[in-house]
Amino acid sequence: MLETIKNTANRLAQPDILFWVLPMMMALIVLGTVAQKSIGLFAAQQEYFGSFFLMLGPIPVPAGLSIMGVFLVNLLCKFVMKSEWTWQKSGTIISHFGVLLLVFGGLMTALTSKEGFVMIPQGGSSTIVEDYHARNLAIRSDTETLLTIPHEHLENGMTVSDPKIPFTLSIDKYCFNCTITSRPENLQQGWERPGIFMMLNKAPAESQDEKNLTGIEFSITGTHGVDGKYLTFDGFPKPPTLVVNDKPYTITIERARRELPFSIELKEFKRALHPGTDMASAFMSQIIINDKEQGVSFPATIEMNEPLRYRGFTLYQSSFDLNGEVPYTILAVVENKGRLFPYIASILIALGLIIHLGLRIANRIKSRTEENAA
Amino acid sequence: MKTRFLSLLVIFLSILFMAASPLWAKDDDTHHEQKPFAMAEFGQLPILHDGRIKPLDTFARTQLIRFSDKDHIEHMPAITWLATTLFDPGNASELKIFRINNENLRHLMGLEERKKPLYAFVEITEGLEKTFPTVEKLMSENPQNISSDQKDLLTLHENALEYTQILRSLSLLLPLNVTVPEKWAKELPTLSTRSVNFLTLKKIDAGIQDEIKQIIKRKGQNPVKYTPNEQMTAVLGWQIKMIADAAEGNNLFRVIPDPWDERNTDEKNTGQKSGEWISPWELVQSGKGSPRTSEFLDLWTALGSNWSQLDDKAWHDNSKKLLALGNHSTRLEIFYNKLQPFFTSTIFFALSFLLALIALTFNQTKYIWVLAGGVLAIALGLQGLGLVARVLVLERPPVGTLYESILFVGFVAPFFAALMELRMKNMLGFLSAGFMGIGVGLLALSMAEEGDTMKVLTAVLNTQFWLATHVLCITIGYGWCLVTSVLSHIMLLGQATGKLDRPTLKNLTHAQGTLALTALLFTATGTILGGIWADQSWGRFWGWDPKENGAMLIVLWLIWIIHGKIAGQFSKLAVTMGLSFLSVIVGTAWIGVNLLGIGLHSYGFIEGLFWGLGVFTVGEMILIGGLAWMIQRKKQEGTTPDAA
Repeated sequence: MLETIKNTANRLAQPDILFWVLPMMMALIVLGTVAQKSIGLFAAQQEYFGSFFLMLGPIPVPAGLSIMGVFLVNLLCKFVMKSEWTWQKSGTIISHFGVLLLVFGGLMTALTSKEGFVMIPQGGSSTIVEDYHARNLAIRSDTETLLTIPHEHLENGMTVSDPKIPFTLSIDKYCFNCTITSRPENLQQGWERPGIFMMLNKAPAESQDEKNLTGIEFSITGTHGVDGKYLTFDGFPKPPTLVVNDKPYTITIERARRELPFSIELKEFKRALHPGTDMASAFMSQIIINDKEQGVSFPATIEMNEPLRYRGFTLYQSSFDLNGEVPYTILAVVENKGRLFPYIASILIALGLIIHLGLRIANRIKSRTEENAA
Repeated sequence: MKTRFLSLLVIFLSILFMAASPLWAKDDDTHHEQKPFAMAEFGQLPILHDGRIKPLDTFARTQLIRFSDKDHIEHMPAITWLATTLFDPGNASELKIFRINNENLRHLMGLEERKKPLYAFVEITEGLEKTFPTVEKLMSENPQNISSDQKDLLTLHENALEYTQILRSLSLLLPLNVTVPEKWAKELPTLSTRSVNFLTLKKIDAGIQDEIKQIIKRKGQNPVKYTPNEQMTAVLGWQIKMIADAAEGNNLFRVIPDPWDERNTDEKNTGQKSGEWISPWELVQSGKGSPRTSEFLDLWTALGSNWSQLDDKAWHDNSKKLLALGNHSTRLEIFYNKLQPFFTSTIFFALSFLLALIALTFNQTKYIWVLAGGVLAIALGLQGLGLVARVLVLERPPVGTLYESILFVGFVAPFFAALMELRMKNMLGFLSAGFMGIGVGLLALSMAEEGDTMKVLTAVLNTQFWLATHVLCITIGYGWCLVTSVLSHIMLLGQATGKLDRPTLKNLTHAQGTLALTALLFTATGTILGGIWADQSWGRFWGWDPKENGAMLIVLWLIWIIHGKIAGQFSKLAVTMGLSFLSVIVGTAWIGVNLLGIGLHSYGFIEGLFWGLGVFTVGEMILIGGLAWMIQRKKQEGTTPDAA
């Protein structure tokens, strides 16, 4: 058994695997980069780099995860089975170990990291992190969330009913990316506000995922008095609220949310411009972290390239919105357990290569001196 | 789009204004060309433009390049052109500075054909007016649906708009051809009509407008009923209003520190850090004046009269005074503009390349080695000087834009090749250095046509630390890659022509291995540092952005070749071919991915570069393939030392 494992590991450590994996990786990178032009970064990332296989026409070919998997196994086996643990090879060993750490860190990041953003008005505070991509249909009563359904599960003709909600919701039209137009008068029959005036139309998906406006048109039945046709969509400031048995039920399409264990208060958002232009030279949010669990409260400043790290969360100055009455700051919130790996890996890879180069040059000088002496 | 519409409306009005009434006193001839003024101090005067303080000399060059593709008109340097435009708009608008290369556009504008397609503003005004409705329609079009002819038309209108802004920048200070009724003339500080300008008229404007209202109240709107004096008052009132309206939003010529900007009023920072600066028109129309700004306006007014009176000495003195008042040294940039270090260095690179080639052809390496080395040192010195000047002017590390990365590679790649030569002493290092200096230098020169290359950076790039680490590291990596590629080309060429002997080949093969490893060290470290910057900036180490992918492609290519060589999967010839082809991989990763027009590092699609890169790739494939074929044939014939 041990012998078989050893033999297999030896085979997997062979350089011919690397020899074939690398061009495949390069081809994948070229294809995945060019594809971004047409399908956008997020979709290309998912399709080419974040999956095991992709279809090139009718032919399935290995994608990022399987290629990186083979690369990792090959490198790991080579590192364990074939490394020559000598001083002369120390540079190579250190560099290879650095690459292993880098790929391993990448794997951990892919598996564990969570990204989202928090939007805070100046003078206000928030604990809610919204996802960049995942959208949900949510039904709430006041602040209590009664039901959420991920948007991937939504489809035309789908019926939603639940003991917690006193009505049935049937989806008449679902569009991952909608455009909004005004509803012609002859089609307004049976519609409640605001759907009586506006309608959703299916549109091709935007290449930049964040730009997709997800929405539904739906019918409500089973109530006494508020049955009718409604619509709602992502980011709609006035989503339909139905009052049934004196209780309000709000139906929204929203970004998937999670709660932070602390709140972030925005004291001030500042934007500095290059003089005489509209071009920003810096963005800055002055915030206060209020952490009731830990009984801590402290001010902090988040700037471009200068994030705040607290309790495993890293908060970055990502964007802003100055269109409203008060400025809003948009902070990216990232939890990533693998974030230290690239730092260590880069030091090791560089160090290994420097040692390797140094030894190579030293050997060369030595052999020249010997040649000259001879 | 609305702003653009308003802007275009302004130009439309300006054109009408221009055509209708040449209000400014026009200098009677073009004597400034015969007796050039001392422009040194004037060229140094600071102006806030595109987010940074720069000398008027740079502003003049940038604008003239924008209109005419050249930084001078025949014998007139850009700064003289600017002074003429500012102080003698009447004559300036007859200078042929608008280059219209598009034949269809020339036809559309009703312009005559010329050997050089350069036209004066007065020649294109009619066409601009005629095409304004088309432009108005184009503004509501999706930019993707606009043809290249239409794009050229839009650009011409935008340029004309910019030009009228410059033309009117000092219209408030210039002597006007107006008649002031006696009653009002008495209230002016000077009675000489020749020196009456908008600023002096502004002092009596309120009274004139009041009087016009009274006249209209008494006699109605029809001027025929007015007395000659009343008519004169009405015309003057209308003229003042026309000048003010035409200059509405004239904020391009920011030559006066905003007295209310705290960065300018803070004594410690005065003249050091650029706060907001404003244009003379903005100053007057916003009512922001202060005693200090009056000094600025007075000196600019004085310059105006010195110019029209051809008073060279007073001009020189007043320029000096204005320079002292602005308290912002721009000398270094003037020196940079004059030296044109990257153009001059390319010439020296070419010279060193030629010398190396001659030496190799005639086997005369002894003296020419020193000469070629000296010329190369001058080229590198100039290139380095240019980079240092940019660092000092922009107060940031040398690479922040694609153009700057080209300049930097233009220094490091030849420098590394020169270092290599110091070890090998076979002229091949100088040959490579010269070759790369010319190639990268020409690429930089073609990119510099866009105008001012010293640009301020967006917020995410505005970080000294990462510009100094990641960006320099990856750019140095590109440099090493190019050296590796050029050396590999030389190895192929040497073997294919049978010019390389065995010991030299052995030396080169070893150097090639070291170079490839060094290139890997810098590109790999630079790529990972880029990831770390991304992690610091927005929380993700790797995002598959085109530029990141490009950098990774170089790293993977190098790893592939190096490992293929170690494991024996690649023959020596294949390794040399692979490393030669590194030039294409670097070209694609460095410049090519920007052409996709997506991602964080995108600089937009540049058609010329796209085709250039395509031709380069195909050319390299043919060259490398051809040389390899020749080597194989020689090997079969047994006339080559050992295919490397």
